Amino acid sequence: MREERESRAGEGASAVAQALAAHAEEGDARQLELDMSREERDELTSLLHLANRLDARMEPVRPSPAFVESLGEELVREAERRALKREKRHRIAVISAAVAGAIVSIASLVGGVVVLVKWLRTRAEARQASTA
Amino acid sequence: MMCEESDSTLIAQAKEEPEAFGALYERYVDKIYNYICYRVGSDQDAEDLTARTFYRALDHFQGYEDRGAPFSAWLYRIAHNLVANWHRDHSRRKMITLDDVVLRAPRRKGPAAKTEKMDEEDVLLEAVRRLAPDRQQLIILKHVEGMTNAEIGEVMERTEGAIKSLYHRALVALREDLADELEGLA
Repeated sequence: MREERESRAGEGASAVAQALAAHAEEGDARQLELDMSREERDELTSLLHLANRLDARMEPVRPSPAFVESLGEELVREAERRALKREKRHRIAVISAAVAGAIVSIASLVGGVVVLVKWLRTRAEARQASTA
Repeated sequence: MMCEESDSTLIAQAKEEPEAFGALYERYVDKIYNYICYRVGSDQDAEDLTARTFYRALDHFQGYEDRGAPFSAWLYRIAHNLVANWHRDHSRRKMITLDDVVLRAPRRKGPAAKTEKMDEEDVLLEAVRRLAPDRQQLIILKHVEGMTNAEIGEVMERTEGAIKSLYHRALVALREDLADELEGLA
């Protein structure tokens, strides 16, 4: 019995919520209202009255033009500073990668030369040994 | 003919050109300020939090991905989080927070005889400020910003159905609070 009552109350609340939304967004609430009980219609009227009061009272407020202008300038300056920083960081990353690449290349070249010299020396020593 | 660039275009530009971020700021500063002002009730704090909102947006802007949701939804979420932190930090301080909003908000012109009505309206705003944060947010987005349930759903990351229910509960809670207030006065 209690569950049934709660379920009906829940459905009623949902119907009122749907009708409120339809009113707020200029939808067609007529059919929804026709399906409502008298209690639900009274509830809807009361909430719509409150919603109208809110609409009438809650007018937009605006920030002062001086504040808007100064914050806008600060933000653009800050965005520029960050863009320069990002660019600088990017340039440093590119240069670092190039330097690292060059170091690896030189090291490989030196390593190659060392291996070659060692190999030539070993071969020369082997020849000398065979002629002796 | 002036052709206003879409948010997506401006976002893509702003990742490369700082001036485009300025254009996004100009597009949304009024809305964000408006939202914050109603949430905190003081224009000085609203200015401070508006500035912090846009600085935080700038901090995370390079990582922002345009997934089709309005850019404003992202800004409102930043503002909402900052306002929540602000309320947490100020929760112990007793403040008369609505005065500034009430005084600054444009009022309908009229004779001094309207004072009583104004008081009634102030009571309404105070009651809004006593609502739970998500309910306040919804009421402000709906009645001040004039957003649809779908738009509010994107800001609050909830379904349209959830927004409808939340709006209903918010109005019921507000009505009960106002009734209690009237009983208290009687």
